[in-house]
Amino acid sequence: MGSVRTGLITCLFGALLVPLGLAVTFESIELGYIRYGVPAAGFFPFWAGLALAISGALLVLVSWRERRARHDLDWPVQLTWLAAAFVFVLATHWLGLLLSGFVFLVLTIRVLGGLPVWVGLLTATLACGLLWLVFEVWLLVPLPPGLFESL
Amino acid sequence: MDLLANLALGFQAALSPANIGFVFIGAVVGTIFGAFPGLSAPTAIALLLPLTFALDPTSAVIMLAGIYYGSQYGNSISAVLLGIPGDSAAVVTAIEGHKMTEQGRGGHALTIAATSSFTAGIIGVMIFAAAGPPLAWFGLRFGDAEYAAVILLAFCMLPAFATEGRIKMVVAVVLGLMLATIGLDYATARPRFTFNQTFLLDGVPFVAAIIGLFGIGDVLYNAGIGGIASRISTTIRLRELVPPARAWRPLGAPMLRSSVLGFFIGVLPGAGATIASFAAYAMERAIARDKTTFGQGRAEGLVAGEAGNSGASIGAMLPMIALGIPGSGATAVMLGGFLIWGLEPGPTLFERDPVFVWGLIASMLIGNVMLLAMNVLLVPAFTWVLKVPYAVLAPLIVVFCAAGTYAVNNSFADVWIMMAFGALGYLLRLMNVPLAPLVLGLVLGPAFESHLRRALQISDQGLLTFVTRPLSASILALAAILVVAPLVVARYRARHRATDPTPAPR
Repeated sequence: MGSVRTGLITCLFGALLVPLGLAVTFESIELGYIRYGVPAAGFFPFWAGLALAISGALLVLVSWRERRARHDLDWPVQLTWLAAAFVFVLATHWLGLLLSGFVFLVLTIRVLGGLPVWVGLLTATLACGLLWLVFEVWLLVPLPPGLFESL
Repeated sequence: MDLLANLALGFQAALSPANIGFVFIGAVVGTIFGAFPGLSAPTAIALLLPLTFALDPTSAVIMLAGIYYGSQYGNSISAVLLGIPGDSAAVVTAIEGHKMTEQGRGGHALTIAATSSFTAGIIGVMIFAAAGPPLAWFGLRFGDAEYAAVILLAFCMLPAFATEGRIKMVVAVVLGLMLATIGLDYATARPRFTFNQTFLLDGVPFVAAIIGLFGIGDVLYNAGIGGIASRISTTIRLRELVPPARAWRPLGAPMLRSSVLGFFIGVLPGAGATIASFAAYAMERAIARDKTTFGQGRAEGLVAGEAGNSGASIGAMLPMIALGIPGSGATAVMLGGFLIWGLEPGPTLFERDPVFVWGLIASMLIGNVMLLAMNVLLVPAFTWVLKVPYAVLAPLIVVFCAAGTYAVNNSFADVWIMMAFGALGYLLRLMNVPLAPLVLGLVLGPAFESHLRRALQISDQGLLTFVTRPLSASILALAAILVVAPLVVARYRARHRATDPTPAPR
């Protein structure tokens, strides 16, 4: 189990929002604030960007006091799951959704979940079967075929 | 008589075999998602939203609404059996209900919780049916200035009702509003913040964003929880479910009071089921003669929490249907679905599509009856489902999210946007920034901007138009009070604490 300085992360996030909000504000001036006496395309983003910059600055001020506080959080496990999800989406481009989903389910249930292989295989088979039935058969929505596109 | 005729119309639609099936599916899915700590109604609604495109809008909203109020029934199961609330709205249920389980009255607690939710659901639907048309009539008197003011009021209510993290709530709303500006400007068709990407010309794909935030980010944040399977040691038999008759007598009045209070709190955007359950609990505690047994397995406390949160779930749908303003995060996700189905929720919906509105109302009555039966008779089955390890659920949800998101537009770009919002959702959860206000900003942003700009365009008074029109001026005054009042109260309390000579009790 790890720990995270969530206060510091919040401070950094708030600090990032300030230049982001200001960038939106300046960009919206180029889009046009008022044209021919009526609000133009940049009117609303101007105020949204300004509000974001101000609220970002307030967030930094409020969370600065708690910047040293640590909270117990299993962030290595969470980030591993997040990374695995990204790899799954990347693999879908080449393997297709059903095949990459099958592999993703088997590997994550076994490796990250620590459960027996048969649990992963059973879950993956049932899940991919259900996906195929729901999307390809019922909804007639083709799922990404990947490798199988040429077949 | 109009009310009865409208309800008859609604039942005609809701009692079709297909719609009864969809109520059942929504109720079961909602109960399961509500029961699992870490999963929630917005996650379930986001997950099933892509599947609703193949459905008739009436059937789709019936199913999604079933998920929402079904989750309020489900969140009591893990709260009572394990002491772990399915979501924050079930904290009171966990306090009182789990104590009852420890005292050997777990079955009674589950039945009392389900009955309280049922009573609140029925009372809530009746108030909804009676108040909906007048509220819609009132909404028809709104112009652009009033609509912009009401949406601003909804945004101001969010931090006003927060007990902590007000700045984080504001950040979430503003971030949502800013993301809503991406795409083509509605009036001039100028691209805004699209970075020359064609897939952003229509704006941030709503389904991809919602699925990413609630499906990927929220679920993966909870991946560290692991399974709760080993903690379920209580076996509840069917014959242990029904409390004796004498146990019900003191519960009738709390059930009615908490249902009504919960409904009206749920109507307020930002208030939500959590505040409703705590407010009802505080009310019953204040009224009770013997306050010492609260927190020790007091059935009236359990009733208050459950009736409060279930009443609020029905109440949150009233402003969504009648005014187009969602009352909670889950209804904000549902509102997105409305827009995708080509429906415009608001005052004219009652006139343009009465079958849709009254079909939904009638289905909520049917759904609550189903949920009472399910949550009493199928507790052993739901207990078994709770034993599924999170390590199996989490990747399943990820795969279904990816498939559902892709299916909306047959676009991989949507899937990558889903992952980006997933990462954002994870980061926001890490910082304890709530997701519902961001969704509210994303959903209401375009409407807020268009009403605001049109109001300024039509009037030659500029911003003064919002204060010279009596209705919008009143709404804005209320919004200003909601913004200023918590700051004044906090300042007063801080000053009072600093000057109070009374020492703190040991």
